[in-house]
Amino acid sequence: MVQAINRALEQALGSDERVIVMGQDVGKLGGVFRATDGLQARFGPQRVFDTPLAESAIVGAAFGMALSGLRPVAEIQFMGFIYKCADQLIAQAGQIRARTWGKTTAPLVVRTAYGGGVRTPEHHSDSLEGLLMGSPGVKIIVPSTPLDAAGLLLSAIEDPDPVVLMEPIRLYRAVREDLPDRLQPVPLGRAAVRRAGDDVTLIAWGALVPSALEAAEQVASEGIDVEVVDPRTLSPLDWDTLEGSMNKTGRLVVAHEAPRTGGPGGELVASLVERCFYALRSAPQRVAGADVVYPPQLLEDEYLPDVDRIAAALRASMEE
Amino acid sequence: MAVTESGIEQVLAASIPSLAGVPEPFRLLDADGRCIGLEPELGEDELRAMYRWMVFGRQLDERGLQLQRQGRVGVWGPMIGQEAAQVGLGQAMRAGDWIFPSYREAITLSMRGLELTELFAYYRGLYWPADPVKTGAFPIQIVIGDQSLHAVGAGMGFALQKQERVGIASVGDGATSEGDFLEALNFAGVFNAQTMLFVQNNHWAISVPRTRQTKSETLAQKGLAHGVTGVLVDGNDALAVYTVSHWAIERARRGDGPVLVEALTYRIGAHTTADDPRRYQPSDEIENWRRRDPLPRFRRYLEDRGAWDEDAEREAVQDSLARIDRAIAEAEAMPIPTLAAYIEVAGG
Repeated sequence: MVQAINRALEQALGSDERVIVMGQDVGKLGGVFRATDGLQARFGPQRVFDTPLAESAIVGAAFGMALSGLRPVAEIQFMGFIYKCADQLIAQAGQIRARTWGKTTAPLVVRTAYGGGVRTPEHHSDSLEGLLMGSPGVKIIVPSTPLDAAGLLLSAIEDPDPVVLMEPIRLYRAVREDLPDRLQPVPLGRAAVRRAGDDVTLIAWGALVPSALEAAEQVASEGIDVEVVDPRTLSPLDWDTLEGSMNKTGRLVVAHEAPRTGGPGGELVASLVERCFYALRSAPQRVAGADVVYPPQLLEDEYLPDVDRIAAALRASMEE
Repeated sequence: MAVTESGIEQVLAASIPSLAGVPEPFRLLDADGRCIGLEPELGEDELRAMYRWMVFGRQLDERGLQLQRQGRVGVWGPMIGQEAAQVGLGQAMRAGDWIFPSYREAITLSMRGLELTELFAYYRGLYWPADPVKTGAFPIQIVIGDQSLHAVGAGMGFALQKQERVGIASVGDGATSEGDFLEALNFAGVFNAQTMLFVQNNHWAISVPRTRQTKSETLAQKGLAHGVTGVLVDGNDALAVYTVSHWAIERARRGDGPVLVEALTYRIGAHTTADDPRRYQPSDEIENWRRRDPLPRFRRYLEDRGAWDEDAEREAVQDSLARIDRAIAEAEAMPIPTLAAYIEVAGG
């Protein structure tokens, strides 16, 4: 996946001179995960450049650059550091469209690595999509495949508004796909049905999609036919696809790494119950992180939703 | 050899950065409006126009306060005392330059082409109706200091796109304590942004005095640590503010580096109509600054040149009031859009 992101950035830089890549270590080093590897050498230090170590300034200045006509792609190395730039991202870039009655927007992408499972130190494993889902004006995309990572990023760069690309650390080098010579944009706001099924709708994104698919296969042998829906864009959500699946199956499981309380699962369950109440056949289930601060590395396997926990929730949803 | 307490200080002295003395604020007019230095290359029409803008600002404040008491605008932050700083800045900007203002900049914004009707519409509680890119005036900033980064980012963008424009942030003394302001200074220096950071040091951030914001002797010296040139200017001297701002803006435009300007002025009025400065502002301090009112000072300068008289003053007041009242009427005639319309545009 990290190579797909690199290729998408390369393609965008090559085809649109307004695109710039900025952040800590994105230049010579090529990013702490090598997502920007080789880009500075190819496009020069004017368009791919390292910044001082200051998250708020990275996003605030990128916002100013976006206003000036550029298309900045800024990197915040880990999502756990996003609080430092939350004001510039949410209160400034995210609100300029509304404040100016649509006359000015901030075409800005913030790439950030998120999620656990690879033994990173404190503050490196957080899943803060819920924080952003409650912040109107900022779009959120979370890919689970290399082609989606590239395609969603290309669309985000074209989008007139700020988009946060949450890159699942666990999938950077874990999932592979052949990349075409010319990458195709994947539209924002469209979910993907990863596995069709009739009995239960299982919503999962990012690093949990492979686990969700595995759990679906596990219960398939027990006669439970699971439909796995990957929203890909968490804000705005693709309600048509989500409702369509829910109305078909009548059962719902949502899996995410973020803590349960106030997490995105609560919003998905509540909205789908409101929208599809009469199709409902069992109590919706959430598989989530615990309501605690993200645990130390050696405890994270127990904290993170895994195949067994998702499978158990799928079975529970089948009980009347 | 053992190190003693006094010995170490002697040895360390060479390794401790220091500021040699406090700078004198740059000044062109003395307290009586007599020119004591160089005169900027401004024609008589431009000088008269500058003073008219100051008169306009004073009238605007009075009407703004009245409107707030009548419930016709939500809140008003008066500019009284700061007119010279604002007019000097506005005069120095060129078409195509961008200003990212705080909420006390109506003179500068009006000078840059923001329609007063649009400003009143905003204060009335509608929205920011002007196109920021077309006017070069971005919506007023509420979150203190945030706009410093936007001006620097725009100034970085202009430099990258080889556009001869400058991004200007106008902030108050309180903003200089914000991390975003200091990060903006730092980015401006590192990226040689086409930017000017303009601080109106009016000595009060609501009720917190300037002395509580920083132990630094001046705010201008904060530029030094970031490799950015800082200048201290008498903010109640419109000619001096213009001269310094013009120099800084043109320097930034050429790509010769960003500048931090500290304009020393004073907030004679309240922070906003929701504030009661009698609880904290010493009355002798206000009186002292009232004597340095920038309007009579600049007026005397014009009168000495034979460029202003009582008739001109009366005309300026009447013109301003007519303009203000027309704008209020227009703003109040603007329809209130539906929430559905707002959701449509805000949602993208």
